[in-house]
Order: sequence, then C-alpha cells, then structure tokens
Amino acid sequence: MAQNSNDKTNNNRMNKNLETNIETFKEILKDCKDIVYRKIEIGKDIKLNAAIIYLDGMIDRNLVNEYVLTHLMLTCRMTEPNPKNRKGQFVEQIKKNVLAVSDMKEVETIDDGILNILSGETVLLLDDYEKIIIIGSRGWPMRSVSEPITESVIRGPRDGFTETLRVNTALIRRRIRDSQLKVHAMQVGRRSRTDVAILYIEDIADSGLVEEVKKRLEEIDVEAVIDSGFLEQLIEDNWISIFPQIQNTERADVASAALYEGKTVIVVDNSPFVLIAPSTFNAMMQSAEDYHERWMIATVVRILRYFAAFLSLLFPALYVAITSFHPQMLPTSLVITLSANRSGVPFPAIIEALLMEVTIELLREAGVRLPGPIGATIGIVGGLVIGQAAVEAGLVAPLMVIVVAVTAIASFSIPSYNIAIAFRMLRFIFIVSAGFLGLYGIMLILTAVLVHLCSLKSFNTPFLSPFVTVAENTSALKDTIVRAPTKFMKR
Amino acid sequence: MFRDNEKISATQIALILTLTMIGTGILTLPQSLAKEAGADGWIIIVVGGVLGIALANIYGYIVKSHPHTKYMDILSMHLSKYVAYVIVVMTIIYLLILNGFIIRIFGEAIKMFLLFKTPIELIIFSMLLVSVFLVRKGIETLGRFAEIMIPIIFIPSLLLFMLALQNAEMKNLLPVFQVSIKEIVKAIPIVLFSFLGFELLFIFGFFVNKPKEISEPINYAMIFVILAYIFLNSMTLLNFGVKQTQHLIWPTLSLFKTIEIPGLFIENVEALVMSIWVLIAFTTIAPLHLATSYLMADIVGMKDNKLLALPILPIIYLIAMFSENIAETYAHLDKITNFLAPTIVMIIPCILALVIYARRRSGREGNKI
Repeated sequence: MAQNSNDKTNNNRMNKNLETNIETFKEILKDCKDIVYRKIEIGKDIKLNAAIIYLDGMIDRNLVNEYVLTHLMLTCRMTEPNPKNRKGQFVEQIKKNVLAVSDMKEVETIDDGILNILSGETVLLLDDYEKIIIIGSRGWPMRSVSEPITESVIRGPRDGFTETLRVNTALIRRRIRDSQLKVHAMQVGRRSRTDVAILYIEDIADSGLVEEVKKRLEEIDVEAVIDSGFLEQLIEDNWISIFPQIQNTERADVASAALYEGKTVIVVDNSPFVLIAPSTFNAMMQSAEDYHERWMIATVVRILRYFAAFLSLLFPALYVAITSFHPQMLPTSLVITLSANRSGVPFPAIIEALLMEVTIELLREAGVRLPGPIGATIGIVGGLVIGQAAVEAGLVAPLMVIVVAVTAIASFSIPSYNIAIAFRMLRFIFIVSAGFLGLYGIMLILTAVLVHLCSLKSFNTPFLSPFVTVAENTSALKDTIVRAPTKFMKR
Repeated sequence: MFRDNEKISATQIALILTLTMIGTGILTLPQSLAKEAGADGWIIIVVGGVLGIALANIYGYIVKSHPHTKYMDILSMHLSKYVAYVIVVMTIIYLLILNGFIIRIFGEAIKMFLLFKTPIELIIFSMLLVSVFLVRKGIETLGRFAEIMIPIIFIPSLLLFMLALQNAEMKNLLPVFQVSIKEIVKAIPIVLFSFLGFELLFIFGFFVNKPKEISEPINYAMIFVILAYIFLNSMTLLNFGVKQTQHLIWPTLSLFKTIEIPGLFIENVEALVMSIWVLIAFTTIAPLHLATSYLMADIVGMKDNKLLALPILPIIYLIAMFSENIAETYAHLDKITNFLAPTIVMIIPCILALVIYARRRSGREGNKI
C-alpha cells in the first residue's frame, strides 16, 4: 500500500494487456496473501480472458460465485457475442446482460481499483479493456443489531448501532423517511481510509454548521482512524477542556432525534458510537427515555439527574468543608454525632476523603476491566468489606463511607459517561480546594468551572445553551431541566 | 480570539451591568441610607435611580451614536486625542481603585463570616486568580456567565429573604416622608456608589452586536436594580429597624445571620449566604477587571487584552491591601465616590454626549456626516 503512493504516476492508468494489469496489481499488493486472483475465460467461441481480484474474507462469496462467476463462465455462453464488434459490444453485453449484481460501477485508475478491493469490493478486469469493473460485493462477518449496552432504557426502541457504517445509516434512515436527509460520504485517514458519513437534514440544519463539520473532517490528516472517539478528539473545539464537546451515542433513536433538532450526525465505519455535533451540556444530561415517558415523570427524573450531578461533583468536598471549616452549618445534634464519629480518625477530613475517593475509583476501574460476574463481585467486596473494615480500623469516619457511596451512585446516574468522568476528575479538585479554603474554595472552583463551561463552544453553539441564550431563545428552555409536555414542544 | 470577533447581545450587556451594580451596593447601602435618611431610604434610592436612568440613557445615546467603536476612539474623535488619553488613564485608575476596594471589602466579609483563620491575603489573591481566568476568556464568556448567574444568584436570594421575613416588624418602616430635600441631595453620592459599574457600558458597548437595541434592556436593568435595592433596604429595616441598621457594618449579611430554619438539614444558612455572596462579588470584580484590561490594551495599543489579565492582578491586590483595616477602606472609598466617580460617571459622559449632540445637529444642518 505504501508503494501505491510512491508509484502513483506510473501505475495510475490501466494497460490494455490483462496480464500486465494483473502484474501491476500483484506488484502493488505484494505480500498480501489474503488477496485472491482468479483468472477466467468468457465466451463460447471467442475466449475473452478476464480476472477477478478480491480480498478474501471481506466479500460475499455466494454473490461472487453464483452471480458473477457462474454467469461469466457458464451463462455467458448462451448469448452469442458478435466477434467483429467484440471490443465495444461484448463488454457492454457482459455489463448489461451477464453480471447479475445490483451494485456495479467502473473506475479508470488502478489506485481506485485497489482502494475498492481493500474496501471489500470485487474487481473484474477484462482483456483489452482499459477500465476496471467494480462489483459491489462487500460482505463480512458482522455483529447483528443488538441492544446498546451503555445507554439502556426501560421504555423505547432497543436497536443500537453496529460496527458497519451502512447498517448504521440504514437504522437512521428507517426513522427519517425524508429526501432532505442527506448522507455525505468521505474517507478519513491516509492509510486506514475509514469511511465516514455526515448525516444532516438539509432544510433543518444550518448550512454553515454542515460546512464547518465537513471542513473540520477534511482538514484531518492522520494515518488511521480506529474509532469515532479518535475522530471526536480531532474535530472538537477545545482539546484542553475536561468536558466533552461532542456527544456520542449508540442509539439510533437518539441520533435521529438529534437530526430532527438540526444537528449533524457523524457515522464512522467500525464504530458503534456515532457522534452528534454540535452538542450541549443539556443534551448530555438527557436520556432517550425522557421523551418516551410522560412529561411529569421525565421532569422529575431530570431534576433528580441534575441533583445527582451536583452530588457527584460536590458531596465529598462539602463534607470536607463542613467538617473542617464550618461545623456550625449543621444542626447541633448532628455536629455532636459527627465529631464523636471522627474522634478516632487520625487524619484531617481532606486526607480521609481523598483516601476513600481514590479507593472507590480503583474499585470502579477494576470492575470495568474484569469480566462481568467477577466485576460485580469486586463491587461488593470493595464496597462492603473495605468500607466496613476501614471504619473498624479507625481510618475513616462512618459518615465518610456514606458520602463516598452516595457520590459513586450519583455519578452513575449521569447519562453521559463522558460528563460523568469529567465530574469525577473535578471532584478531586473540589476536595482539595475544600480542604484548603472550605466553602469559599468550593465556590471559587465552582465559579472557575462555570466560567470555563461558559467559554466552551461546540461548533459555534455555546456549550451551555440554552441556559446562556435565554434572551434570544426562551422557548428552548422547555427542554432543559424541565421537560415540557409533548404538546407544547414544537418539533 | 481577538476582540473584533467577540460579540454579546444587548440583553447580555444589561445583565452584566445589573450584576456589576448589585455587587457594589448590596453590602452597605442599607446602613448608609439608614444613617442619612432613616426609614426614608427608599426615596433616596428612587431619586438616585431616576438620576441613574437618565445617565444610563445618556450612555446609551453615546454608544448608539457610535456603534462598534471603542470608548477611546469615541473620546478622541470628539475631544481630541490627548484629552482622550487623559480620560482613559483616569478611568483605568478609577476602575483599579474601585476594584481593589471592592475586593478588600469582599475579603473582609468572607473572613468575618466564613473563614475566620485564613489570612485575608490568600482570600483576595485566590479570588483575583479566578477573575484573571475569566478575563482571559473574554467578554463573550462573561456575557454567557451573566446569563447563567442571574437565576443562580437571585432565586436562592429571594428564598432567603422570604425566610428572613419571620422576624419582620412592619412598624420599622415608619415614619415615612421625614427626609428633607437637602438631605436627599446630600445622600445622592451614596446611592450613586451603589449604581457604580454602569459606566462599563462605554467599554463593553463596543461588543454589542446590535447597539441600536440597547436602550430597552438597559432601562430594564436600571429599574431592576432600583427595585432590588428598595427590596433589600426594606427587608433590612423590617428586621433591624433604623437604629440598629445604622450600627451594622454589613446589615445585609447580618440579616441572614438571623435566619434560623429549625429541623432542616442546614441549620445555619450563613455559610450558604456567603457562598452566594462569593458569586455576587465575583460578578462585580471580574467585569471591572475585564474592562480595565480592555482599556489598558487600548492605551498600549495592544490588539489582545488577554496578556494584560495577569499583570493587572498585582495592582489590584496592592490597592486592596493598601488600607490598614476595613474602616480605612471605607474612608478611602468615600473619597472615590465623592470625587473621582462623579467625574468619570457623570461629568465626562455628559460633556461627551453634549459634544456629540451638537456636532450631529450642525452636521445635519450642513452636510450629513
């Protein structure tokens, strides 16, 4: 493949001679043992030499055998090609009458031919013919459409994206039967040539936004794109930020809803996660289910979720601040219990909190890496045993264990893993600041975080909109912390 | 990001100014008013507010007549370049001093109510660092920040005031109409101080995307602040009465100290109030800091004000630490409000507006400019 670019000028064009062409292919695809070359003869009286080339394992063998080879080698004999006009008509006949495949096209350069082979198409070369016939035969073992693991819902569709781009775009198409839904295809990665599709609904999405997305994708210059997460980091606005500025989803209904909102969806081949740009903090705090449930339930759940975000960010820090700086905030009886609890603990609250938080982060990370049942066991062992033991050993106060546990649960209630992990990291900064400056420290860091969030933009949309664009677009508030009744939400 | 790309909406600038004004006045206004006018403080607020609205509209007129023009350019266009330099330097000095004193007062309050043992230097310095962080992000961020701060600050504040009502005594608001016109005039500088921050409109007006629409939001902002101050003043008087209010340094904070919510998880809301107070103070300090950096960039001829954010910090810090104690800070602050502030906030804008108006008229009669 490397030679491909070096020899571009020489090998670009097809030769008239079949053997030379095959040699060129073999030269470029040297040491690629998974490429299959199959030479055949077409026709009864006059024999036209031909060859098919494909990548083993990437094609639908049934299709090639039954509808390409059988027809070329056997059925073809039934027709009577005219020997005099062999060059023009015979090829035309093969294309029009013989190849019984739905997806067929022609390319002129060997580079294009090779790219198609590597994408899983079958290439048909004919003697004395300077074009390459590409037979659409992509077919490889793929995971079937299954329920998304990361974003499960109680009520709602259960089909999630897979690793195959076409399946993913089809899943979205099924929900949007509109000719305005455009699928712009491109390839990213010098070597990987990963297929990327940008989806948008033309008359809803802002044309400037679509152009911006295309521009950023085109400007990418990397060797390979393995997953959409990789692509996300290359096109996001602020790579220094702790917060994700592009949403990812495994759910087709979420992606479709985003399209209806005028956003663009970027589907990357080989990744079950599609990207939604632009995205906002608000969007990441929502779950697909919010729209399927009745509005009151959805609103209450959302308030709960924002509360969870608050806890996940600040609860341990508040514990540290209150116990070490402001015990007068609490009811007297609680203060007495608290100080009795903490009387045996040798560390200041900040050390206590950091110790427990690091432990729980370790547990969580261990749980993710271990296979299912063992992961759950780790959770129980860690949560119960270590917590209990730490209290009995006098390392931490019992209240601290409660705080840490509630925080962990709260951080699991945030729908977007990206945001949750940002909160997890910030939590440590908050604990440290609370240890030094108490509530004041917490407020300072909170202000800084808010300032940072306000400065963030995702593809020219303020990350905190609609909270920060209230004056221009008040009605957008209907779908934030409150989910207005479906009747009042204009779609 | 360079300055020319940054845009805020007319509403956002009004919100920024609202928050800036509230931050300067909220702590001390009830006490000074009680001293000057007894229970009739609200009359002074109204009179001062009307004056403020008039001034605001003069500012609005200047900004509207020169859309997308820097303050310094407007000044040099009408009052010659040297005068412009002098005025801008004066404004910078004024902003720095004002900011320094405000942050000193803020730090003292934090020390008194929240962090009893922490050195005030650390409190002030850390606050300024966060302010630098915002200044480096620019005005667009400040605009969005103001929008998000309005509900975060005012909803809990309103709830807390409601809780404070449990100790209210209606007769504390009486007697009314005891104040004489002379006393009103005398008290106007105090009220004027509470409305300081409004002059930032000149500096931030440059960034407004639709300057023509600026009047309405600005008038709303002024009315909102007047109402908020009247509310604050009445609440303080309701709780403490005139005599007691006069003797409190920070009646507003003391007001919240009286709140008790038995049976709730948080028994003492003081710390909660101080948390909100951090936000209120920040929304005053950061805009002043940002405005200073913009003006300084203009004077030096720098395109980007970001680099100036940090160098300003030690200046503000030194001004903040200049006074020995809080009483001295207030004494210094009084000098500012009596001399420097009126010049910058009232006299210069009025002259400028008159010049612009006169030129426009002569221009209209002759050739159109």
